[in-house]
Amino acid sequence: MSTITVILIATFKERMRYKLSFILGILFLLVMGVMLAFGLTKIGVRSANFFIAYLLWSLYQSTSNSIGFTINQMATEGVLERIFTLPIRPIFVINSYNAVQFVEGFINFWIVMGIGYLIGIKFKFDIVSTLAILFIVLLFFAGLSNIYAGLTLIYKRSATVIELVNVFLLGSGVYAVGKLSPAAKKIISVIPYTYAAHLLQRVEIDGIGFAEVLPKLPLLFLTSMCFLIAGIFIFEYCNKYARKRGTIGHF
Amino acid sequence: MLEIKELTKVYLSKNRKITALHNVSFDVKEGEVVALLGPNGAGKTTLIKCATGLVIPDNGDVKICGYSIRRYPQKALKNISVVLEGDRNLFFRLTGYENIYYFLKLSGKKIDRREIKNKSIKFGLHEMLDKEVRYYSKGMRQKLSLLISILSPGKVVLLDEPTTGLDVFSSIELRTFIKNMAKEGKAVLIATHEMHVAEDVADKVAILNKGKLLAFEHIQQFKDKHTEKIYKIKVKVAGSDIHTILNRWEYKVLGHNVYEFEITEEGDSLPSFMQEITKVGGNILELKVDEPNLEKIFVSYLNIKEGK
Repeated sequence: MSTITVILIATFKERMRYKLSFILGILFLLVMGVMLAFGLTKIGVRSANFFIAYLLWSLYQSTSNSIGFTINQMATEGVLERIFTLPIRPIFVINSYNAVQFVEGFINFWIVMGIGYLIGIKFKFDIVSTLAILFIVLLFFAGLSNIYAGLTLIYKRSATVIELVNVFLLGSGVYAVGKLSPAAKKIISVIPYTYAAHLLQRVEIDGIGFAEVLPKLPLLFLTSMCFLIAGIFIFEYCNKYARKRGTIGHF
Repeated sequence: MLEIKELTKVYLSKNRKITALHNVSFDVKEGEVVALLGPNGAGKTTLIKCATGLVIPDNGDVKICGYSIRRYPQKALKNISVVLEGDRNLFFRLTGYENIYYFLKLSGKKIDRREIKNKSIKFGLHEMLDKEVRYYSKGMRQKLSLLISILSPGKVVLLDEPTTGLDVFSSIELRTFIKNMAKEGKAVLIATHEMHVAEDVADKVAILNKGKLLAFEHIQQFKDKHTEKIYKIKVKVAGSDIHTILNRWEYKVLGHNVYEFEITEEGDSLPSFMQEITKVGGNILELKVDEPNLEKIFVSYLNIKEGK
């Protein structure tokens, strides 16, 4: 707990000193969301449904994607090597940073949701169901964070790969809430993000209750856990591989 | 305290094998300072990184306070304080104090503000601790990294080029701190290019070249073993008998009948020179011993080893 607190304080102070980037980051999420929402309305996708997918994507953007960026930045500045000489397992350090990013992501999520409401999207604000979905899907984002952190250790241009996943997820989120054949919906339901986007849409737009959501949560939990476990294994593998090659922090 | 055992590391680069370390073994005991010397690419940084677990060796191991860095990395790392080469040790957007807090807390040390204040005053950093590190000069960053390692609880201290970028006064201060750390019972391994730093602080030298450990011994023993002392003897001699001596020994004419001879330690050259000079009635005006410093010895030692 002490490790998370120290990292939380340090990260918060760092963020506060990157005020402009911090504000621009939020603005980017808002402007992009609004522009895409209005654009998609013109081609027939309901903007409210899209906004749900986008809302979840903004949470992903603030967590997993941000971890990739943080690790990349620490490796570029060189301090990553020093952190890895501390008597804490690197996987624990990475996931402490993850926990901190989740706090930031949550704050962003509610801000974006509030903006959505202000531009006319009628959310049901079912807090219990929404939180249950978010907490479970965060396991998936944590899995991705571990994969991104691992990739960054061994592949210094990992940002490009991460960008590809970003676009893929955003696209798949739109599919999840759009009109798809049942077969296609089954396929994308194994991706926790799209499954969660679909559930969120049912909760926040269609207004289904927690009783209807609950039976769908085990599948989301199962697939998210699979990604988390895979992420931890991939990070551990990449960490070992980078140490064998002697390239941790090499840029 | 720090045991390096048969360490071997080969890097693969574009299908080429580069041996960074080849079967290197030595140890650093409690209260001892060992200077790791070697030219660029000798394997010094790789060795420090192997000792911290940042690089996994192909063979061999490093034990810190009895814990293998490969088998028990966290227990081993609890006993290490490290300053890595260059700007690899700090968060630039945090202040000096926040960096100290971050690294000490995560190393498991309680924060003692008085100790931080006292030591930062000695390092001339006290007034800068509330400023973000990005505003520090290179030397100040280096000093802050060192301050963190000094404040850290590790019993084994690993320093990779710690004096780079430091001014003369800070370098002297740092050397004092290193000696004090050894007095407190810490084992210090310092990789450096600066021979005067090694000469000042180290008890032993470990010389690496192309990944191989060429020498590991007490610094004085190393100097004695690989140094030929040169005696500079100023003599006043009158008469023609001096020519027999002038033919045998190297000399400079300093004035009328005054010569300076350079006699090496080789064989019995000094006693036989003294005998001959006495025979011709020479008067010894001055005798100086010219002992080369570690840098000269190191360069000539490496040249000999490389057959230059």
